[in-house]
Amino acid sequence: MAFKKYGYYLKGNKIAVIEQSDATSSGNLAIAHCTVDPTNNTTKDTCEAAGGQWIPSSSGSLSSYSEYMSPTESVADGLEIQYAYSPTFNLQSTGTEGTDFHRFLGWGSDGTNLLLFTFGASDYYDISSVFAADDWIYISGSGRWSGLHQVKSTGAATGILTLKTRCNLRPSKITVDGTFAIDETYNGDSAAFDMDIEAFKDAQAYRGTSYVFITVENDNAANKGLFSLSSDTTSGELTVNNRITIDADGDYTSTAAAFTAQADDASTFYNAFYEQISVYEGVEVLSGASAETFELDISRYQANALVYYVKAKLAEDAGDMEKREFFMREFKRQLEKGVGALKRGPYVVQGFKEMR
Amino acid sequence: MKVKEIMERAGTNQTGRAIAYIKDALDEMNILSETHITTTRIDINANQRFYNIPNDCLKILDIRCKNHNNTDSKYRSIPRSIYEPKIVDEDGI
Repeated sequence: MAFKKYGYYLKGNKIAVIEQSDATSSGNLAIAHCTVDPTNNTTKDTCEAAGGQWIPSSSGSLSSYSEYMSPTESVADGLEIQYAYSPTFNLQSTGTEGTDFHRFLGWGSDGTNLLLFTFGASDYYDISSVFAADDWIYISGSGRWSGLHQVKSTGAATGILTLKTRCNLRPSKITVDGTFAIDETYNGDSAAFDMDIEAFKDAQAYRGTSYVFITVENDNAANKGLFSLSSDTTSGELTVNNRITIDADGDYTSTAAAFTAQADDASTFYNAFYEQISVYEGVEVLSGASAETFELDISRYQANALVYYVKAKLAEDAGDMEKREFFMREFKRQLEKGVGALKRGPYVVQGFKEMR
Repeated sequence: MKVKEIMERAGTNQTGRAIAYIKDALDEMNILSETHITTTRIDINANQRFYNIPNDCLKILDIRCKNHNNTDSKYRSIPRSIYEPKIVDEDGI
């Protein structure tokens, strides 16, 4: 893998990831060379294969000198975020696939709610008897949706799970009549459907690789599931590239799509985002009828601090600010004592080497 | 410790209100001293600058990138830019 230099800044509720471009200059000329065995590693590829860093020549212009810009390459699992969360649930899943652990291919939206998509090796994975309305689930493996969610309605036989989590994608889905052809295209049957397809395509043109989850009226297994789209300039036509499935071993497989010809097929195309999502059932949540018996995943010492917090808030409600301040101070003191008790010995200071 | 025990210690029998305050307390505890942490990984896409912060995130502790300052596919902390770079992300995505 290539040597990279990243940075980030925060913009609202998003993390902006930036990457530094190669250092080039048009002033003092440098000769392109490798930091490892420069005599033999004379190209960037051989240099990086040998574990070295390729220093480019200064043939570039001054304007491209070490500038930060949007990431230049796609990197699977390239961004790792470590964060603190609130332990308001206990995961009790045994991790048994098909029982309380399920794999999903990605997510989308029905215009209002978040949808999760799954698919078997060659046909829909029927989840109608797997999830029930109001079930709590825990999602991992999805950067954005990792965490606790609640099921809105029973899973669908088409492998779509609707959650109560709000999510609005534009576009989210279209239902059109059209023709599947063996050259992996889908063409609208009328001018109105063509226009819908064109608008759907245009709205997601910004994505490097777009995906759609297709449900069909006629039962052709090859025409259903999650597909990546390839560029198609023909108006009112979609061209798919690969189909992603989950095989019997639970592996995600991407193979070239092979549509079955089918005319006049009312199909629904969901705007989908491909992510290898794990969904766990058997989640005990701090809410509802059983909340009083919920066992908090905190130490006894932390629980004592929590009691002070609740007392402070009750005092605040009663208008007793003196008591409120006292209990809130005790809450913070107890919490700090608990954290401080884990620290022992001298500190070692190490400079942050990126700040040079 | 169970919620019921906390309610008894705090001297309240109003479950709904107690649960709301307990949730507030858990948030406050994690913002102040990070008692529960987790890590998630997101794909970096070419030309995509903005990435969503996980839904359940209360406080970001570290942001790391694969191959940052190395060629061994290791994750290393990336520095925070004080200013936005001169090259803007034109599509805002």
